[in-house]
Amino acid sequence: MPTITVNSDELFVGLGRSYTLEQLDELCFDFGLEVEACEEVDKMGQLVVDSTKFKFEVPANRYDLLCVEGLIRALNIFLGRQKAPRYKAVHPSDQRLMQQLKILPATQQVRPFAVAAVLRDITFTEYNYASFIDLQDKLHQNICRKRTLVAIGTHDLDTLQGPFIYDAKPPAQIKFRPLNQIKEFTASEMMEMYSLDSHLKPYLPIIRDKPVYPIIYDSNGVVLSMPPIINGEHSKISLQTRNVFIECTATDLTKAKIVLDTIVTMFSQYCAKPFEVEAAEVIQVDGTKVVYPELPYRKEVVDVEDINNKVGIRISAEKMATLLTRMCLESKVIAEGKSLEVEVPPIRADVIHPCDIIEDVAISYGFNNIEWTFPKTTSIGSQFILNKLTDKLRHDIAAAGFTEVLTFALCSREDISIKLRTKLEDTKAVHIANPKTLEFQVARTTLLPGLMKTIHSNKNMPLPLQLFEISDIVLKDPETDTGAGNERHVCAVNYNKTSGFEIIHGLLDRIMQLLEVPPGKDKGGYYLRASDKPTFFPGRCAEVIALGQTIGYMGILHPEVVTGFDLNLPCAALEINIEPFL
Amino acid sequence: MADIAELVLQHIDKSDGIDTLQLSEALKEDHQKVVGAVKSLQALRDVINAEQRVAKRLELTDEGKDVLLNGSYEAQIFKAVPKDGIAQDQLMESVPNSNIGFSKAMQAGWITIDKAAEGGQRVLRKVESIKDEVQIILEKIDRQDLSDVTEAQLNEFKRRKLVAEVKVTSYLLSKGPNFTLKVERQENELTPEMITSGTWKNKEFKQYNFDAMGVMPASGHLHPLLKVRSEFRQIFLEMGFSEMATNKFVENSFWNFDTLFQPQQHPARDAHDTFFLSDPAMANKFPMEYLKKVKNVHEKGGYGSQGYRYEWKIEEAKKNILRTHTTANTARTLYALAQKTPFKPGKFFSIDRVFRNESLDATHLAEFHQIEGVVIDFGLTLGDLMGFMNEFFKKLGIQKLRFKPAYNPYTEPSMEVFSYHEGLQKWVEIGNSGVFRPELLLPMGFPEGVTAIAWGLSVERPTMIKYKIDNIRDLIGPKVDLKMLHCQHYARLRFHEPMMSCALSTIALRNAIHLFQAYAFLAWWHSSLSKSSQSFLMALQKLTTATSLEQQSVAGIAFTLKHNVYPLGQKQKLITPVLTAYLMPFYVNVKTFVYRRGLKASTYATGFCWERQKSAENFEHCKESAYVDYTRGCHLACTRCNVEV
Repeated sequence: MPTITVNSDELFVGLGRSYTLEQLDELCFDFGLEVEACEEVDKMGQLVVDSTKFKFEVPANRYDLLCVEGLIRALNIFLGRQKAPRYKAVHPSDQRLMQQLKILPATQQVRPFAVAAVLRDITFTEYNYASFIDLQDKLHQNICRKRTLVAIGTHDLDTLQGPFIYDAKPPAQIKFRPLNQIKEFTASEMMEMYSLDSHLKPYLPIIRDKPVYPIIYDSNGVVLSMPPIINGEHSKISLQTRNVFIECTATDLTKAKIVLDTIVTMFSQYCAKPFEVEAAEVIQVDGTKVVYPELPYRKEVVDVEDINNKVGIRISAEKMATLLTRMCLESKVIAEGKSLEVEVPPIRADVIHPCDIIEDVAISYGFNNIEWTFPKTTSIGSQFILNKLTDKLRHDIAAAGFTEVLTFALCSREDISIKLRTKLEDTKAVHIANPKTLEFQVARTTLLPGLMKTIHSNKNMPLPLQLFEISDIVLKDPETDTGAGNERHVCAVNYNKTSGFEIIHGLLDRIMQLLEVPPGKDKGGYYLRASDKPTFFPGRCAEVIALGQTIGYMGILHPEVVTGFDLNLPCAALEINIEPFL
Repeated sequence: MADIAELVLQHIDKSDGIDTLQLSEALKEDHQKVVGAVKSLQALRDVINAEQRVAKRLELTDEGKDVLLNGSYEAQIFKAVPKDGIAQDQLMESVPNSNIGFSKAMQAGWITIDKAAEGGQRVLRKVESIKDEVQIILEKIDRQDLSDVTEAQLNEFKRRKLVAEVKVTSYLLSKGPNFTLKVERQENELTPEMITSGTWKNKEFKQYNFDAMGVMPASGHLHPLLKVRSEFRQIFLEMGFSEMATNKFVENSFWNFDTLFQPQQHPARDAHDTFFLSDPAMANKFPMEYLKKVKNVHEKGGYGSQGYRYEWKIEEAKKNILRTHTTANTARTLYALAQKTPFKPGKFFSIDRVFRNESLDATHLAEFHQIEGVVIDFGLTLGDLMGFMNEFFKKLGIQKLRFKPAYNPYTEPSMEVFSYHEGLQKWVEIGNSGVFRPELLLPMGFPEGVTAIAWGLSVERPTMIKYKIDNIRDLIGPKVDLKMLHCQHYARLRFHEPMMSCALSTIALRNAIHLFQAYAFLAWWHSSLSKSSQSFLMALQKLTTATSLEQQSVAGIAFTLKHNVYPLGQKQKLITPVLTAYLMPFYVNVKTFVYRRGLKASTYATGFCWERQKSAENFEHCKESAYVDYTRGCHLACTRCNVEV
């Protein structure tokens, strides 16, 4: 979840009173936010509470709470101290003065969408300027998915001359003075330079290998930005900036609109005419003109009784409308109190279904004021038959003197091949594309390596070591929809100074006894047949055949397998599939 | 031994009190043997009184003994210099420890150097003869005759490590109230012969020490985490839930994400968090009609939804992964349920492994176990979900719940479940829950009005708390400590201890605050505020009272504290001595704990021995000589104090 740090003075002024941490926590808990004291470690290594700040954890879909402006506004409306403002996109008095952004066709192969808007006569202070920058950063990290989906550029409009062009050019043809630099660089030089910049480095791969890079410039060819990497120094905003041009370029148009709406609804608060945003025209590749910001107000009609039923409360339509209005969802009672007409404002992009409105009724009513009931659903419990068998076997194998271990389902390729003297191609193993360590290259095809590694980590335990595990292995299986499936295995090992074949054999006999499978070569029985599986010592390996099929192997492990796991005593092992016995 | 014991008794009879050291000389027996006999006589109740005495004595070290035999190093040097002198190089090679000896001999003025001699420096005698004082004094010390040895000399010898002060523990013996000269040979055990012949009637039997531990029965053991899994399965079954088939580690993104209305650009679908497969890389079979509905609901919405309004790609949905949650299987179960008409309500649960592409550390693993429960029926309310949570957590002994609004892409409303923690005096998160979104249920084919409520938590966190394990790698994976497995108790999740109420976590362990650390931190914090060790102690004691924990648990916390406070820096210095003092009275209670934790055997044994001796001085000594004999189970021994259990 994203967190924002808020200055306590600013917060208290905004909320009209001061709060202790506990009081604030109480308020925020009900609203779905977590608040914490700001703790820092000072030079002496002491933990210090910075009482001038609070840290808020904001739900990942509430972009309108990512800055102090939005947070204070939402809490004030929740507390009934303020009415939700009406956000408006206005056209300039003269249509010809409308700012234009023209998208050229070259952009379509790299970053096809762009939206824009203007904040007129804005007054920046030290605080709101920092918040403005911070909000862009928070949006970049969250909804913009680290600038892959959307990148924001904000510019001092008075330094530029529209109309603006959104183009894409080969890196060598792009040259401008980027933000906070004293000279001009080509795009290629910038990519080189920023590969050492810890802040910008993560964004470079978004366009690095593209044939063309996105670029926005004004009618004089002054570069505004090279999204999603960096803005130009020329149009940099400052505390003195009065008019801000905002552009968002994107690979996801819906998200770009949400981002633009979020910025303008939050910061139009500081404009000469608060909550009014100057629209801009974006000329699409096909020549059509779209005006942004859209600032859509959508109407949803919801059924009062349905909401009452889904939440488990009984409140009137009027009361429900009041509750929703506190959540920035202006509501009107219609249809003689049967329904509500709910207006979803542009800042609540998270409301995409009536169920989101239902949640807001519940939050506003107070989750902890809802009466607890017990569902009337009756049902008869049942176990998954494979797990039921597993659980029974676990207890009896432990009663037979073996200790249960729990090992990882992932392992290295070596673990299931070289170390077991088996060819990797013969394993039917499922391979992981992006492992962080060598320990997680494949899903295990056998439980044996996990047990061997456990013995290795416990070499100082008194002998014999008798271990077992009943768990799933994974094999490629073209029959399934994913091409791979699990198989439930039981694996047991006896590690001692003597070979112990008879011990592991005895365990097999006991398991078969439990499963009511008699010894014998007929269809319903089980028997051993000599095998030459390379994991085992020659002449000391048997295939276990039960119910007419091979269910696994047992024997004395090959000395190279033992030493392969850095062990030095004889080890007898058994591994069988238990699924035929369901 | 019995013979010595009788001789000992005879000597005691003849004297008014005799020391074991004297006795050992008189009997010409090793002192240890005499002490052994005394111990066996002590076991006979009041036959003798034995009072322990500690005497200090000077003894020659090995080096000292060498000097006693061969003379001091300086004397050896002197002897090695012939009348007409010797080349210095040659001299230095001829005598051991020549460097020390040479400088001492020079200091004493016994020898001199001729720097101008031909063929290098030569050493010449300066005096005719010498008296080797060092050897003479050592000889006196060896006889324990210290009458004319000065303090300065003694200190000098100690510094040169020629003599050392040793403590000798002996016993002053005298007659006890039941003194007797004859030792009746006592029998250890009742034997078949005694029963057959009836001789048991006339025999004396040794008393048993009922404080000793028994011998553990040989047996296999179940894994703690899987025991906790069984407990949870039991709870679900008691509540009428059916277990879902979750034996499917490999999933495709469609079932793991798309069906759950998780958009394709969602961060959880990043390679940073999810294991993607290279072979088999793609899934190919999908229920196509359903897939179209899923695509549609993402792109355009429907069912009352606006959708996410982006271009949904089947390539993304086809990607095979290791499932990141068991909710993928829940989706399959619900889809199968939706295909049945008429609709049948149900309650489902699963507990199984899930995978996250994380680096391993003390609280994170790439695989962990997720518990999940779902109830699906017409007309379920949010109040039902809360009421249900209440009943479910009550089964774990957790009473006080409250709910916080939260965000989850596939549930709406979503709630985090909090429980009030008496010990920490704050609300802690114990699980996640919510109502499945209509965008998830309706495309599956459920009729309008069907609601599904669901919740999830991890198995690892309650297990770590229940079994007091603070490193998850001690629990799962090949590095598991088998000793730990062998000493486990039942996994009864009757969380009467209030501390257990915060044992449950969100689905991911990501945000898990380990309870011990929380306790430890709290205590540390208290102490750092007032900067005194006294307040640290008080904080710990306050926690004991507040949590009504057993002493064992508190000691456990403190132990963990000691292990975890390191990163916090300098406070360690303050805490260690306080902690040691604080823990001492609890050591006996702590013993199972320490054993289980696999702490250094000597720590455990030391604590035990210290408990017996009750003196800080002995503590230091026992630290070196105490050990745990693992081959005999939990047996303890301290060679220094002759204590064994």
